Amino acid sequence: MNEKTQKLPARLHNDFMKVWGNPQGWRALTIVNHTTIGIRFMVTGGVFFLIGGLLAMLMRTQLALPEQEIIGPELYNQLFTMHGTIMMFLFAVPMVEGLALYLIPKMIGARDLLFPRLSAFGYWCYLFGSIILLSSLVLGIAPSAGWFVYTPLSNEVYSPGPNIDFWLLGITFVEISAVSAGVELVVSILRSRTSGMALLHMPLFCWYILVMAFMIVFGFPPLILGSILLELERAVGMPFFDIARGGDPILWQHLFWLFGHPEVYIIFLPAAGIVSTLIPVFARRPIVGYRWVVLAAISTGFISFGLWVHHMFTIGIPQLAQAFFSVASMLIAIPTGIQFFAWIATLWTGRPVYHIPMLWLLGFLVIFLAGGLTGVMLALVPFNWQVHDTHFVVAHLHYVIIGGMLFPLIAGLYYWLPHFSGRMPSDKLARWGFWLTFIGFNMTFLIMHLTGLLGMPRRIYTYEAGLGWDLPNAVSSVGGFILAMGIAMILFDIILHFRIGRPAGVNPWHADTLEWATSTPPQPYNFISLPADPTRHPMWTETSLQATIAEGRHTLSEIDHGRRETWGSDPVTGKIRDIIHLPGNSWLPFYAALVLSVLCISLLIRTYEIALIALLISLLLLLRWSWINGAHPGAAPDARVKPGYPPLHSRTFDSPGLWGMVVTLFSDGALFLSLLFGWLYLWVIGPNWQVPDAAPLAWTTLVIAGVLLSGAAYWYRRVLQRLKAGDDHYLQYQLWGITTLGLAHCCMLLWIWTTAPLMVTHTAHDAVIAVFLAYLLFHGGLAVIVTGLQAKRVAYGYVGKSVPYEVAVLEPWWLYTVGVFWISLLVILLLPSAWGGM
Amino acid sequence: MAEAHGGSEEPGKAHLLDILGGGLLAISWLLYLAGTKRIPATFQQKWLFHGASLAAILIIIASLHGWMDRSAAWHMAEHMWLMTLIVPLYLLSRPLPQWLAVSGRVGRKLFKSLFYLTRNPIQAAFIHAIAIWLWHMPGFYNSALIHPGWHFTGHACLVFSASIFWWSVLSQRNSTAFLALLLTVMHTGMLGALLTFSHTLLYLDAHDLQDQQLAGLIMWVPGGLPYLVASVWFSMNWLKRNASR
Repeated sequence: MNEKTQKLPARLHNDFMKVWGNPQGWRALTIVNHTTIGIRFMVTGGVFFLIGGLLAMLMRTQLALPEQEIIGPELYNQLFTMHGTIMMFLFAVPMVEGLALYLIPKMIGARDLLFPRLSAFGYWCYLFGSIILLSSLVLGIAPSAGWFVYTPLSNEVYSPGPNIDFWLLGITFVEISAVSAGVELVVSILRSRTSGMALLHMPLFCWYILVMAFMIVFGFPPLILGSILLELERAVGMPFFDIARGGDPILWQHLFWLFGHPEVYIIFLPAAGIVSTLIPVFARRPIVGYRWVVLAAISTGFISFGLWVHHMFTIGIPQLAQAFFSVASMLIAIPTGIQFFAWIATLWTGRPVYHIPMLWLLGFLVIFLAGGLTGVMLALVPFNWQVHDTHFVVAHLHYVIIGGMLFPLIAGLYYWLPHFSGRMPSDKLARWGFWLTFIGFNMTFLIMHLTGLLGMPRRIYTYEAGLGWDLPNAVSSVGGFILAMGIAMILFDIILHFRIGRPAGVNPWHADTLEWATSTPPQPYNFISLPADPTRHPMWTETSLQATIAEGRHTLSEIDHGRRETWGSDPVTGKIRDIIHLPGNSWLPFYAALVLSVLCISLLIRTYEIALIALLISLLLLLRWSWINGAHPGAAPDARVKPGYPPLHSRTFDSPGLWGMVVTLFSDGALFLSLLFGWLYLWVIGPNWQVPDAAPLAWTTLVIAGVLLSGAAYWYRRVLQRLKAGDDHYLQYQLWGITTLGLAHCCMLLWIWTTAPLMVTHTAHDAVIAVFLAYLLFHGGLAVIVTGLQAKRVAYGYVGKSVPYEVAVLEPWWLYTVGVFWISLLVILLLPSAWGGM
Repeated sequence: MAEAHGGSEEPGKAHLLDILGGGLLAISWLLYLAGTKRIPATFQQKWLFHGASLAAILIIIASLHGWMDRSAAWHMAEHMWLMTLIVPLYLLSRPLPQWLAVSGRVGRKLFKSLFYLTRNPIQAAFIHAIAIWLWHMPGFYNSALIHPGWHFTGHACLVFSASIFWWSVLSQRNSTAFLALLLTVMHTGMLGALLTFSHTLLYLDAHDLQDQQLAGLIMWVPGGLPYLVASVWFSMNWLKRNASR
């Protein structure tokens, strides 16, 4: 008896590893498992952090003494641009995403994220995009217009050469990775929680990540659009940001900060999530005001989208607007205050123990508070004007970002180190690391406030002696090196602990959340059996959870079918709805990202023939990827499940794919809204906006094209409704019919575009219309291709009455395509006459 | 430029809007009072209704003084006051049972068809968005300033679509309603931003650029607040409901 229970976990483990195990050698590139991908994200982000830090060290060396000539102005410009870009785009966002990808499934009791191949694809896009961007630094042609690359400085006239192109293409590539991770996190959190984990039983970290993921989904598209427009202006000469031809450089600033302000909270919220996870564990009591903290996180996300204007106080916006946004900026203090008080109250009423992570949390509380206070100062317009573009702003943003993101992140790293490695860090080295970092940081940046108040502008490569800036700069530089020593100490500690750290054992911090119920380090399958979780603190209420999970005493521990499975649950209550079977390791994500990076490079060196070929190949790869699905032999041809279990998701209409489609369309919608904003902005505000005398597009043909499209979408809807009712007569032929109708629409649209007298390089008006047409054509074209593939899949028997879910996944895409078509038509054709009154 | 609300025409026609609006207000108020005789309303509901009606009277008073005639900012404040305060207050007081009690079969049929429009908050948000954008296009806005009839139609469109929107959002209070609020706060913010940053006078009743900027800012910032408050309130309600389960 005793022997049997001893043996069982080991045998279960072996069986699971046959399905979930990671390959070695070259084939490690095919791994899609979230644990591996999460660690890859974090390690890569860590490397970029060190590179970004190195650039900062170079700058501090240059500024340590007045009138130094170690680094010339051009290189200095590249250094500060790349430092900001690396830290924001290549370190901060991927790092918190990596942590979330690693932790979320474990915290919600799932075996993997719901789109594992997408996470692998996201990682490769991130890696290749970053390498392309960094190669510019090695080649000496790095972007040099600041990390927000304001136009007109960044346009073809003032920044000739490929420097800015590296930024635009590389960052867009990396951002696609960020958005895909955002979509994946939203859907995984909502649809794959273990049995009975209602939304309000989720660990707070999951709430924060949910809000962050939504913010990425809505917040990144404005910058993606802006980058595309600016790249089009630079490469093709479409004048979106050129005043002479009807554009407006300020539009870039709006698009950038529409993204940029939410971005601050995209990196702060996960950090606050770490704080809210750690403080209860170390205070040894549940968090005070769980619901208030959730509410604060949600409202922070909501408010952050309305405040972008306060980054633009000095560019000549109306004084009234400055006053309004100065006041509105104070709003954010309410949710931040709620969280602060919840943390303090938890510590106050708990019995805190001061392990290393707590030290970093206390450092966070102090520094972030100071950064918040200088933020309030900067929200006041007269003060903002006074210190704009000085080192005061530099000091403020480092207090906010290092204090608000890096300190909690390191606290989290120390906290989860035993989870990553199964070993504990060294207490002594860790304390040295903390104090060196804390002292070094404050020495660098506290004094920098003063440097700024004394009038030293940011982004200058040197300064004259005797202006009063010598001493504070010297102090900052010394502090910077102490900070670097602290970081080195932490790195040393982390590397060392893998070898000499003492074994951590089970749940070393006595934490309450499910990720500590895996083995440490975790196995690729996370849990042998999936526990029901009806409380907020599973590991506190059931201390033996790790053992019972490994023994297979909970649900879904069958593996003889050879499928990777996890529970699919109701988004609110967490009741089980279906079994989600997940795809396994594959080369496709790697190849697709590789070909996309070829596309990126060929756009950089402007060889458009290769770009076109790369685009076609990547499209083929992505379509092949979508082909292995449903009842395909590579997916889940056999849908038998244990009696009493719900069906596989591919045998239902409400699959994670549908949710992924809807969330992706939110992101797409945000992009479209940004495009509409750009169009209207130029129309109303562009100083030289020129409207041609004759309408550039004929409305009759456009309306006919729209009717064709609407007909196709309506037909598609009918087909799906019939399928839902169990009727699949002529499914294949109907899908072919819809494809033909859609194709006719696309051809008509293409014909309209090619015959229209659009002069895209002459006026911004025509350029934006061309972008609208391209956008519509892309959506219509993709709808046609994937519907045609569906028809083909019906012929192969991969899709049909028993495997219907893919048909439901595509419906929102059709509806969205119709929606944006008619909205575009309205604003392109009717706006001029509605505007006639002016 | 002060032709707004038909300032240059004879006074009777100029105040057509106020008279019509006042009349409608009085009728709905009287109907409600009659209805409470048959179907009693709670104290809170009653005062929400009276509060909303008083807020509506404020608009008529302001309009009689001609404040809206002289300034785009006042005019915008009036729009936002109508769309984001009076309408939701009315709907929160749930006056339907009282109105239906006295309006008979015709009213019932009318409201039934309205229900159809409010089924999906996103759809309702789209209807509202079309009305808002249409009537703030300079072409339509300015023709409304010149013809009191158009002006009345415009306000009716705004109030009607706002009712559909808030009705849908307030009755559902789910994640779709939350998204509808987000969408609305985004596009009204966009419109407000356009008005704020415009270098030219778009509206005939804007006496200078600052006036027009203020109009835009009123739509953008204070006008966005009710949506924010509603979404926070929904989240709070939702959290409470689910916690007690």
